[in-house]
Amino acid sequence: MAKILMFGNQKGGIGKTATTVMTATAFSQTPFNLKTVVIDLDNQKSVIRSRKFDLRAYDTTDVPFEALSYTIVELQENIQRLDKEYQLILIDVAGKMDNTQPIETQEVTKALMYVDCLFIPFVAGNYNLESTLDYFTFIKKVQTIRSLQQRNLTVYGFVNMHRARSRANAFLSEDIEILKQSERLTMLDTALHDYSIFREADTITSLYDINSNDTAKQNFAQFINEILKTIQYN
Amino acid sequence: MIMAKKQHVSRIETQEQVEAELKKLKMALEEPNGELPTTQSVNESVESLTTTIPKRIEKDVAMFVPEKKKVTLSKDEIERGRDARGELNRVGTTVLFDRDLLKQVKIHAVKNGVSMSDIVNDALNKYLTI
Repeated sequence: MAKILMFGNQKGGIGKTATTVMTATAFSQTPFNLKTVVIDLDNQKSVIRSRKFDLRAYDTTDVPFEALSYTIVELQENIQRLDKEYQLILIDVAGKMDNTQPIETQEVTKALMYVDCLFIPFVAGNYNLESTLDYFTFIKKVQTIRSLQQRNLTVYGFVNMHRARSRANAFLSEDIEILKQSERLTMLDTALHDYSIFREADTITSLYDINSNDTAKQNFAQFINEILKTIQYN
Repeated sequence: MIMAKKQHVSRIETQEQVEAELKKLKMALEEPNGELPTTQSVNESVESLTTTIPKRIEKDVAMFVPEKKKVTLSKDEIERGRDARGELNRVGTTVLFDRDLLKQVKIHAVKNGVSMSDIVNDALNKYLTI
């Protein structure tokens, strides 16, 4: 049985795909070596395009995780098989939802019906409590449905692209505190900072190194270690 | 509730701790985790979803009608006029809502799953007609 993860919410430009790829490259290689697949449901096919680029750049066919381009129908046809075949499945969905369509009719909703752990990135300055509340209301309903099934959906938030001296962080911190106090969201302790190596991450190289002296890699190792602890309880 | 299980996360610092946690995860992956839903049940479930935020109710608004000095109107930007029916309207008014009050509205909206902007708008309308 696999753990099925998704990094997602209703906003674009908050590092969903980059975090998905970095997590997959880390868990698929030393010291974890989990058999991992990334399902790219996004029409832009960012993961697939990055993988093609990286294969040329590294001149290799040896990849740490598989990347598959699926439609939601193809995902539904294959998810039972993938669940048996892999240890970790990451689903990458569209960077931004279609605002002209109700959320319940969108493909990402069907994908969420299979996810074990949803991680919601919060980025200061690219964030709005009102629209986040809409998303939470929707997620709450998905969770209610999922609670009747054998596998439940658990949800965590985390701060992504964190900049220590940004004024926007003050507003984000206040709203996150409210979300935590109202018991609607559990936040990961680790915030992923806005380091350039995260923006330039590829689909081959793992950034995980628990013994590194590099500040960015230390930050990433803490993040992955927390994900490791988190997913085993769900 | 959008609650995950309480984690009580103690930070993993060493390679040994990583290996211990990884061992636990691999053991968890070996155990049955329950069947995934069928395509038919997923499609039926999704059809039953709606995302309409509950309409704000009067008591939500009544709780947050600001007291005097809790709201600042930027007078320079107030343009008074009358619409086609001759009723007074306000265009381009800048309103500074007291920050503590806004925080209380946010907490209420998050806890009750109601619209924050609807509460603020209606509370301000009530304030302006007092």
